[in-house]
Amino acid sequence: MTSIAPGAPPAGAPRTPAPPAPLRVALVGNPNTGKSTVFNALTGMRQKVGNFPGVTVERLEGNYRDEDGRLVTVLDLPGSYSLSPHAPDEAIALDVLLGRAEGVPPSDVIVVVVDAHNLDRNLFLTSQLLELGLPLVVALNQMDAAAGAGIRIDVPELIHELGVAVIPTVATRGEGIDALRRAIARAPGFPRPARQFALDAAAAANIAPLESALRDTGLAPAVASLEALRLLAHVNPEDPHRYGAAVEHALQRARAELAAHGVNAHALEAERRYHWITGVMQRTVQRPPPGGRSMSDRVDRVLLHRVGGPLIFLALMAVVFQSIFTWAQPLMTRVGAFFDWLGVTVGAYLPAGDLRSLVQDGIIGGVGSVLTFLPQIAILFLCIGILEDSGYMARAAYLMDRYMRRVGLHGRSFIPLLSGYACAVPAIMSTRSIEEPKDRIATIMVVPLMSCSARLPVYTLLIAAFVPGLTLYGLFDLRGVTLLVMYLLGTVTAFLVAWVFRRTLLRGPTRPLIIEMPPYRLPRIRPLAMSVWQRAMLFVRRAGTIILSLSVVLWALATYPHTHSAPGTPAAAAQEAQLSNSALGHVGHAIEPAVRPLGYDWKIGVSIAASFAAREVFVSTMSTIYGVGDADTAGTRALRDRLRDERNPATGARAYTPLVAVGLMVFYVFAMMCMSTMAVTVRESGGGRTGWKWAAVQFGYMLVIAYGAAWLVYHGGRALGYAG
Amino acid sequence: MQTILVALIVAAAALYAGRRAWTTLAAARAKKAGGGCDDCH
Amino acid sequence: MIRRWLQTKREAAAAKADCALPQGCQHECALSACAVGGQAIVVRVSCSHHDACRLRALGVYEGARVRVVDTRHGLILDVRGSRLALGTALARLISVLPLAA
Repeated sequence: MTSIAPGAPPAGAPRTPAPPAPLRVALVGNPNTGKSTVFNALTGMRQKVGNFPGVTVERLEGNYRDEDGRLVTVLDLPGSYSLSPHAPDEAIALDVLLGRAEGVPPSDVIVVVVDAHNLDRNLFLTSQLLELGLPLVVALNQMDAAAGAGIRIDVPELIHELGVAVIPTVATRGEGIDALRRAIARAPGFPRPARQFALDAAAAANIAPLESALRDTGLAPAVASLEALRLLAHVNPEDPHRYGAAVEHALQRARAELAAHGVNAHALEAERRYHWITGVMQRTVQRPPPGGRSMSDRVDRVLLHRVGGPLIFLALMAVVFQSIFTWAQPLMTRVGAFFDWLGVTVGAYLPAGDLRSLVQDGIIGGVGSVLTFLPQIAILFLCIGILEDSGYMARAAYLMDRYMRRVGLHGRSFIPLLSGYACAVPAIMSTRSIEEPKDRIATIMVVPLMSCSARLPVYTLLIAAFVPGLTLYGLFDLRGVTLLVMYLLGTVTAFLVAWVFRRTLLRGPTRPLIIEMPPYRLPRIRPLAMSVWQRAMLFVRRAGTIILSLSVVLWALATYPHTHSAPGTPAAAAQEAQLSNSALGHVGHAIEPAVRPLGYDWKIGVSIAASFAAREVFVSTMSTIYGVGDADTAGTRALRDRLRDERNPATGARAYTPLVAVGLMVFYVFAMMCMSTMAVTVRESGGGRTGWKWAAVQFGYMLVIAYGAAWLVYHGGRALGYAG
Repeated sequence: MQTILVALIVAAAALYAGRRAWTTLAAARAKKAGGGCDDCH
Repeated sequence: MIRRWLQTKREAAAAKADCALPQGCQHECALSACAVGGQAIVVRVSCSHHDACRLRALGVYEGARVRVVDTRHGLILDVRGSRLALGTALARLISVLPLAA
């Protein structure tokens, strides 16, 4: 029997040709064009997030193998309206496209995602990209929305006008993606794209010296023309790639000459490009006549009402928080019950002893107590996703701009602030779209005050344990209201703190608001579900890694050294002794003097300290502490019941009262208990010394407010007679 | 036997937690950030 | 601070009275003064270079035609088919020539 090595082709068969050389694709486009959906459709789940060297802009790369077996890497660049950079993320896009970004290999093909529904303005960026001289493919996305609005686009004519491949796509349905991949593979073989319009002779003559000076710096002729127009329109004084004195000089001369001919140099680029775009649109697009008010405008009449607008906004926020609390309840009970069952079942297989305690209290108890909050977090992300996808977010930013401006925040800060309700880390990273450094840092400083989803487990635990389920006015659950109050507390304080910052450390005017209002649309279920799923999975992963490891470590600290009480000691006292004398207990007793003024005992003190790593750890630490040493560790008693029943061993009175609970929640509203947020703050506020300085300021002021507020609540409440 | 298992698990957890803390802080220290985004929910 | 606020209100009202004429005025006025539904041609974009450049890329350049859609919380424009929202302060820095309705 002939032995054939696995995988070797049978003798005599033709050798498979090597796959063609890999391609690098840069994906660009205006915001709101569905670029991310196209990216996801092209690369599937094979994506990697990183950073560009030297800049704090996120680098999203993915890849796929096309039908010829070629490996295609796709780099998703931040969305921008033009190649003129005004914010760090736009600057990196320009550098990557010009092939001058450090550590980023040049791109072979550019794919620009264009919104078919809004083709006119989208073509501005496209017209600039044509002049880069790189193979270009246009993905004409959201064809379904365009068709729905009665817009008809003559694609072959558009191809003729632009001189490049145009692929209609509906990325959310995956339509056109295969054609897009084929176009990408073929693009390098086509003639290079170029500018499709001409300047009039006089202007061209005035600009020629400038173009020549740019060519002298090493730019290709087509790119020199692009840069000439771009620089005439705008020069960014902080641009590190300034072209040098010769170009500066030529630029001044060109401006002067144009002005002498009555041409506004700053407006020249826009005027020329849009003039060309108007012609292209006339020849390729048929729109139904604008019949007065569109549906979006009609909705806006209501949602942007002078008084009603902000009220509706608040009402929407109230609904979101109400749903987070009420709708999630049944799911949470079920998840909780599952973990209880798991604890008991697994425990049955293990002999009594440390190992069983580790598994039941440390692992299952610790992680389970945090995972029970998964339903709430999923609902929170779902609500934010719906608001974003429907187009309401832009309106909210517009509405809020007036009020935010009064405290020195930018309307654009609204979206990072709102994202802060989910998690401060991506929220702080999204401040990159804010151009003015002072605006950006002010936003970064206050984002952590927006109660992030990690605080939810803390709030929920304490509310469930100590706030009665009364119904106000037959509509609102007191618990939901308490939750809303906590969130409002954080939000209002954020505005106040921003105001203070803008008057002291970060003085200066605020940039005006310019924001696009996309037409309203019904949120699309599949992309929404996918993004909620991804976020939820990240949460679970975090629970399974950081929180798991920390819970185990904390369990160990609470279990060792062992304390063996004399037989006959009541279980509660024995448990108390064990905890008190463990390593954790020693740390807790050391911290206790600091937290006693707030009404907390050492157990809460230790949980707070541990939660610096991740706020949810507060819950798992408490869970561990109350699980360890508990003789009937069937894990059946819910943590909240245990908290309620906890007695102060000295006085016999309840250790945790509603007052303590509220004070603790208030503490968590304000305290900066998150290692990850601190790390991101360091990076995004400048890195190095400056970054650490701002992170320290952030941590410091938040801790001071947290301590002060918690103290006020506790002592104020007691003074008012709420001792019980 | 039990003790060894417990010790191993705890040691592994401590190492992991320590390593995460280190990379988070190191990423923060470097101006050229190389870290990813898996620290968020 | 209150005095400043009152003064801004007075200026805004005066500017509005100036250019709410339906048949369009002969002289230019600030975009913030134009009435809802009015069309205008941009004459001058006088804000900071950064903002001006961004506005121009979005279609608000000297010679472009815009239509005012909403003025309740700032200014929403219809620029070449898409909706652009601007802060009031910025709208005051854009000079336009209103067109007849």
